[in-house]
Amino acid sequence: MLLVSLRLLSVFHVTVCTHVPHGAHPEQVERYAEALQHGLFQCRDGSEALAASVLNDDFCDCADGSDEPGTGACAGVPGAMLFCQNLGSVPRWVYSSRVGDGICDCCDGSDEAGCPDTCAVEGPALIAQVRAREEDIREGRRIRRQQMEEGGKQAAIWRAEKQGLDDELAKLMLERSGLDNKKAPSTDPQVRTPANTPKSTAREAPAISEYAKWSLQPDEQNQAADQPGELQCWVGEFVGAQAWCCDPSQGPRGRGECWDQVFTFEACCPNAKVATSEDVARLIRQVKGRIFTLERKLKAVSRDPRWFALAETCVKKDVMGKEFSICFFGDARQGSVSLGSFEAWDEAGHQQLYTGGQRCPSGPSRSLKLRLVCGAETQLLDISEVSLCSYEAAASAPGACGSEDLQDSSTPLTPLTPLTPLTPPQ
Amino acid sequence: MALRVQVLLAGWVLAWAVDKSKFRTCEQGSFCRRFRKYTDKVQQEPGLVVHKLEPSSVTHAGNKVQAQLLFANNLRVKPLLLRLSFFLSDVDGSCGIVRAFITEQEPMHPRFQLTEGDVVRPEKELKPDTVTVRDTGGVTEVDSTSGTCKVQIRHAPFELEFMAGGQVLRLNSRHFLNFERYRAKGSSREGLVDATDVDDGNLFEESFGGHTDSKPRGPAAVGVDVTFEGARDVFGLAEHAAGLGLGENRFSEPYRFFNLDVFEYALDVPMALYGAVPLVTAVQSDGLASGFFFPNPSEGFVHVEAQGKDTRSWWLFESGVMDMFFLAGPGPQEVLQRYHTVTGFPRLPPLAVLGKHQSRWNYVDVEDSISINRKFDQHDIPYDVLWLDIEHTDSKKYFTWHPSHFREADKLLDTLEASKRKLVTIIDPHIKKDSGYDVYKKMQSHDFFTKTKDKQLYDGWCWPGTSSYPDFCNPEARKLWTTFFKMDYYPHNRLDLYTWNDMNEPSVFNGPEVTMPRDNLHRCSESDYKVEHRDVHNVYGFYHHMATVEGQLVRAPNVRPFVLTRSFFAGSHKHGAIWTGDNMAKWEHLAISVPMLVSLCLCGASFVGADVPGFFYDPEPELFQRWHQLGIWYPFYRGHAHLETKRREPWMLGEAITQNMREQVTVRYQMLPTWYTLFAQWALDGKPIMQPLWYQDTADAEAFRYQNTHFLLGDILVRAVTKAGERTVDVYLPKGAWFDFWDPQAPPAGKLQKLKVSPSNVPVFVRSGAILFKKMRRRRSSPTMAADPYTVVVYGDRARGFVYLDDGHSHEFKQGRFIYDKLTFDGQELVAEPGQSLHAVGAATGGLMSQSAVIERIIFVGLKSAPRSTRLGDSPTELEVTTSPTRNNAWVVSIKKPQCLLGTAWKLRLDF
Repeated sequence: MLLVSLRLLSVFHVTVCTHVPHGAHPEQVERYAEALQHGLFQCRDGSEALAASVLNDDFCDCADGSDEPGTGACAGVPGAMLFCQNLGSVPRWVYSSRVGDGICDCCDGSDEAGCPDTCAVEGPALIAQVRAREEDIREGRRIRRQQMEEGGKQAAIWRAEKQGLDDELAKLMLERSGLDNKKAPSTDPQVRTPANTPKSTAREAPAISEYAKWSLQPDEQNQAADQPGELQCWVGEFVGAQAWCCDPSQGPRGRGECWDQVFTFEACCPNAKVATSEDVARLIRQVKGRIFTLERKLKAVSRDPRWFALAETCVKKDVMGKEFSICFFGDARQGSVSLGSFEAWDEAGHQQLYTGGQRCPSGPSRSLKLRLVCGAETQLLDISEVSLCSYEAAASAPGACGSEDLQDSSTPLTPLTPLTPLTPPQ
Repeated sequence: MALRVQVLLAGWVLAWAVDKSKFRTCEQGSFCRRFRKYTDKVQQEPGLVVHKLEPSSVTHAGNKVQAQLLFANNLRVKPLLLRLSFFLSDVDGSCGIVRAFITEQEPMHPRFQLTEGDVVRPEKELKPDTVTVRDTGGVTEVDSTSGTCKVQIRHAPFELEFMAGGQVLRLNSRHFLNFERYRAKGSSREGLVDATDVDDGNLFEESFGGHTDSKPRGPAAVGVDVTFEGARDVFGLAEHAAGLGLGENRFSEPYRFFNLDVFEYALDVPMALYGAVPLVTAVQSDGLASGFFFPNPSEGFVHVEAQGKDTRSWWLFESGVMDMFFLAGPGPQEVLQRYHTVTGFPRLPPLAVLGKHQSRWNYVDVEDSISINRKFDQHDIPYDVLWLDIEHTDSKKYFTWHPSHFREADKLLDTLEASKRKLVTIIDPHIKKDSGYDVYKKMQSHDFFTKTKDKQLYDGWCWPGTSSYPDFCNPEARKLWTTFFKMDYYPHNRLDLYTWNDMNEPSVFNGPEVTMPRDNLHRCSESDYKVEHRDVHNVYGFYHHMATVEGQLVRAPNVRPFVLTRSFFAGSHKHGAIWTGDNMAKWEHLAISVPMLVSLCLCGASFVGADVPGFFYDPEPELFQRWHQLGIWYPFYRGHAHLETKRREPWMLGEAITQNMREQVTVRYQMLPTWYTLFAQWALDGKPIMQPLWYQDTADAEAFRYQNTHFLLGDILVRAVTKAGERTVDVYLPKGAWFDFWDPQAPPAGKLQKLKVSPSNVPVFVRSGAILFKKMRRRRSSPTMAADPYTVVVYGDRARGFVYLDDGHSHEFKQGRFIYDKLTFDGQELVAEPGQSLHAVGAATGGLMSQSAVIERIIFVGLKSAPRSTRLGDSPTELEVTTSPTRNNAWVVSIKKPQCLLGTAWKLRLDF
């Protein structure tokens, strides 16, 4: 910092600035008019009043670089940039370090001497690209708003369901302890072989309710569950169990559409009674599994309800012949190899961390960082192993759309603007 | 990269270190073990005479003297031949280069000698120094006719003393001379002739680490003692991960020379590393310096110890001949200029490779690489060269590309070219044994691969699996290798696609000490495979590097090559850059990098660097930052990372660190004109770039204590910050006044300073009296700076500086097409004198096309008063000046657009 600044002026130029200096943004016209008064130029930071001739004289006079909007003289000063109007294409800011370095960066050629104006050539495609992106972001934001609302409702439903299941679990635990006390011979583990297990037992066991019947013969029942109108009580095949009641009177619906009809077991299957401790144990497992699933879903909405939409979603992508899949808030895989399970969001909430995947031969266990970027469609954009067993991926989702993403073709691109979330897939 | 330890179940363990038991000590090798016993015996029996010079055998002609050395205890053993040759320094024509050559006559097997011109220049190219010879009774005196250099030879026992001015080096004054003649197995003899007469174990076979060395030719070691009279210490012997002073008596083990791929090398040990330069510079307490150079490419041990006023040493090699050079001072710089006279002057690199290098094992594919390039642009951080490690190839077959990941290599190369950047691909020496691989087929069909002791094709295990190793010692094999760099051979090739030679010790995962068996066979310049690997081990990497450089020259003769090597030997400075191999992201490794690099520079190799911020492990953010802050002051500045580390590009650690990286890398680029001048003065004038603190004033005893500080050619002083959380450091500033590089308003300092260190940079000082040349505008890469004008910074009331520039990429500078100006400031006038000379290329004649020579700004730092007016020459126009006071009532004066050009004569006058 200069404590005292003494400038010996050899030449005075008095000019009235009525136009935008080269390299400045049209909106800055007033600022430059203000800075240029009485034959002097005032640096933007107010530090120095210099001869007006310093403006764009290819010498960096102001510590803030404001006297050289159109040359590379202040390249390296933080924030020093040139504005290319790029008429016919997308306007953009470029760092002053790009000005006069022998490489054409602005399609209108304003950053270099001797660069042709190629805006008419690149413009239409670029504008279309920006517009498409803009449209994508708008749509993404619309969906996001919708998801915010739906997510809030859904979160309440999940919480209620979990509450119910917690109660159910407590009851089942009680029931099991009661059954255990009776020590039914059929449940004696010593007379059973491992192969001779629940399924066959289940067939032998008296079916007390539709639910129990279904839950003990999931394969057949699952088929049935897809039949419209027949669905009464449905349990998914996930490790744990999902118990749903769907009201057949509401018409034909697949099991995936039962979301809004959640009841406790008792409400859904009031006659459910379980005869054996295996059945109870199985139900406990299933209820616990469902609770686990719900906890995961609730985790998804704990940060923000809009992410509910990802809680049930998986995305896939082939990269160089390898199939990658990520189930949000669940597991990430390359083929059958686990790349990790959802662990946490990063602080800023833009990245998800998946950890504890399959261990590498000589390294750590696999892990994945998933960056979410704005897009109307939920898809896996890119994934790669950036260092041994450490993966980075990017996925688009409406939930990631914020106001900051909005780019329209009248807004200049900045050097850090990603035009598209990532390079398009090969 | 080094061999990766396979840890299957042990998990992710961080505390790995070198397995010392894998590498031989002196005691574990028979030739070193028996030499030590021999020297013990010689020392215990002071009257013992083993070698005596036969006075009647002395002959002399011109600059050469020849004589026979008899084995006093057995005159039936054929005498040794001693030949002395005297030469003048190429740089100043003064005397002070004496070559002492000792070999056996009519050996049973040829004793290996390096081909003339490869490491040491052909004698016919050197300037002879005619001598006179006289016998003064028991002593033969040989005097240079051109100066005060002389050699005295005592006849019995044989001793040799080299004197030049005030420096004295004594050869064999402790009578350690040991020359083991080749012999038939089972032959016997009488009397003490050499070390095998003290210990005859393992003469014809020995084992280590489960590998047996068949040693069919038996013992052949050569060794001798060298005493540096009055020397407080000696320096050099690169490459060891140890401190600068070799004679500090820290180690009982001698320094070892045996080029090896040492996984996670230990620090502060004399163990062998990747390269070998058997050269020392001795500095006497009166400040005079002298050098000793013993270019033997077999396994070597050098022991150095301070003893009273002297520094003593012994040198031992497994085979070959004794080809030794005495190099006179008076200063260390003259020693090095004599070393370059003998070995050749360094290769001037292209300007672009003095910028930032960005490497990683491995950028995954074309998209990944392009995105790295894009992010540098987005973050406005300059860099010049992107590097691709082994994974970019098809199954580790060099000169190929990965069929999917780098199928579109052209897209990457085009992208880099569009931002005027370059690519480096790795080309290791091991060649995958694969009959479908053309490089393998060609090498094999010409029978150019190294052989086993039974003359079968030698297979070793390396990255690609089973591999063969070209016999780079063979000039014909090297010639074939050069053809692989041709534009129509190497796919996606470019005229400036640069190369990285790794693993060229050579590294052989399943070989003894992770290298090739010593009884393997090379052809070298012989007609058949009869040179043992033991004879040439330490030049394997040297020749690989050399062949690669020649390949780039075959591809484009007028494009300056750039090849980085890990393994090297004396003379590798003629080929390209060297780095300190697979270091670790640890503070100790940051700290050792300074003495390791300075040591290399003292061995003639100034184009050197250490991987920033350490190859293995993830650096903590502070280490990351401190290492980059230091790395911008390395001659070779490359960011690199191991496969298992996290990504560590400059923007990976948050906005604050990204910002600091941007600023620090920008400083590297702003200083490029100064860097380029330093490189020209090194390559074309023989002056080392990184220098120890004592280099400019060898009488300054205090300066020898500091190893964390280095000079850049004496004018810029850089103090590494070597500890976590270090807030204040001691900085030793030698005689004179020193300006803070980062703060021109600060008062100049001197002597020992306790400094508060900035988190943003390491302490850097500029000598009062220096002139630095800069380009202030940040750009994306160095070629994009070509049109940018210069800023000249003059430090102090009296100053002198040089600036070199040329087109930056061609060999036109050899025809004088460069600018080399001297600027002097006497307090009132700054005078530019163009057309200065550099030793290797003569006077500058200018004639540049592509580079700006405009000076946009001249800054005077530390003027006593502010000038009233400033004019260029006789011009009536006053220049525009900005002045600001410093904190000690001096002035910083900046002159805008002084209207002068580099390469022209001008005077700038300040009136006060």
